[in-house]
Amino acid sequence: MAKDFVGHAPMNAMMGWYEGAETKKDAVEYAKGFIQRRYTAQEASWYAVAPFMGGWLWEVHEGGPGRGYIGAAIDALTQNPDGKFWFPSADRAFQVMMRDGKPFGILLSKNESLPVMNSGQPSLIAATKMMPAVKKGTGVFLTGAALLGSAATFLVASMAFYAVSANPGPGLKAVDFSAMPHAQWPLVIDTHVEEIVSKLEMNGGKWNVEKRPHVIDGLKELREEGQKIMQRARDSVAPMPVEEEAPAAAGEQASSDAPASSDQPGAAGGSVPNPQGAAAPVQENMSPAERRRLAREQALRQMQQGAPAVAAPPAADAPTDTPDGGAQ
Amino acid sequence: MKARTAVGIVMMLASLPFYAGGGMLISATIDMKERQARQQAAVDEQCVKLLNTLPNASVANVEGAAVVVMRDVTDPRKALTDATVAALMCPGRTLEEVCLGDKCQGAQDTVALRFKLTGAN
Repeated sequence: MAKDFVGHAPMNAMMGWYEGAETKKDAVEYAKGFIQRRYTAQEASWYAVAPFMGGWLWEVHEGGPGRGYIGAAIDALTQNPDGKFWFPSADRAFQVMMRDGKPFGILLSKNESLPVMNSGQPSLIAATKMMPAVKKGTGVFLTGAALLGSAATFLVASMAFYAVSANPGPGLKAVDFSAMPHAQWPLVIDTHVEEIVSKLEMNGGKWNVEKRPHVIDGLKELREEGQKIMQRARDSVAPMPVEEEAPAAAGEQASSDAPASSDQPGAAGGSVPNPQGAAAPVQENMSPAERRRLAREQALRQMQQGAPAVAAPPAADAPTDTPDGGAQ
Repeated sequence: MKARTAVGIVMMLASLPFYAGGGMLISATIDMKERQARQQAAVDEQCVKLLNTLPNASVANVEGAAVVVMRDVTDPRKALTDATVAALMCPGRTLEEVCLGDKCQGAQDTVALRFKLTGAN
């Protein structure tokens, strides 16, 4: 225990009572002045003051951990004013007692200290926290660190606030034109005549078409009649006999004859339908396709007039083919 | 001056631009939000005005959403284009529902276009 204590003990420790001090500041200045006058290691010195009996009790240490005996001394003197108490100051003892009704402290000599230190009376306990005589700047450092830390936190938080809350503008959203209403027309453009679109609807981003049947009175009969007409038209046109291609020379000859015949009225082109329903002349220079077309027109004309369908068109070399286009 | 004191003072001074920067950011963000809110309100006001100019349109505010009903539609394709134009005229809103036909809500057996624009604050 003693070894432990020596290791942490101050090089010098003193205690006194400043009766004339009215304020704590006076007592502190007195203690600091004592340190400046008496101690060499001022930056390692400590002081503590406490009000006691109308004045201020002060304590100073040179070195040590900065734990004082002032609190223990006040307790001891208060509880036992007649007692003598001590604490170590380097290798000597500092004795505290009441003398003439006032606190009094004395640093004993080495010779006087030994009996006190070996008397078996325990030393006062160093428990009071003391203040450094010379400020090391720890308070400023800690304050600065705290301010800087809080400022950095504030800046980061404000940046996060900016990132979350600030937008460059009332955002113009990307427009998907293929999902806009006007682009949905193809969904209904192929609606059949027998259907009605009840609704073209978008809900939750999905487009749906709802249709219902469209009933048209007489449409079925009209269709059947149309089919009959078409069938009759098909039946009335007999397949053309396949004829051999005329020799090239004959074709050229026929072509050379054609302009002469075109001077005749009603023969222009050779395929103009006859207004009287008569068959158009079939010319020698007509191709098989033109002959078939001519035959179809003739059949249709006769059907419209109620005439029996022509079974077969006249042969290409029939004598009825005249260049004047007369009906046969 | 002790080193700790000097470092402490430097840290205190260094914290000032941090506080200033943070304060400016917060102030700028709040300003920007207010400006955006004003712009959005102006855009939305203009949107509702323009919706009312659509042919045969009635515009109703239903829980913050603009519900537009155009009755007696004679050109369905144009009506769909009108709905697209309306959606583009209201950039602060979202086209949530569209219905064209005589079976849409509120159509009353005539071909009607009904659409809902939500999202305005």
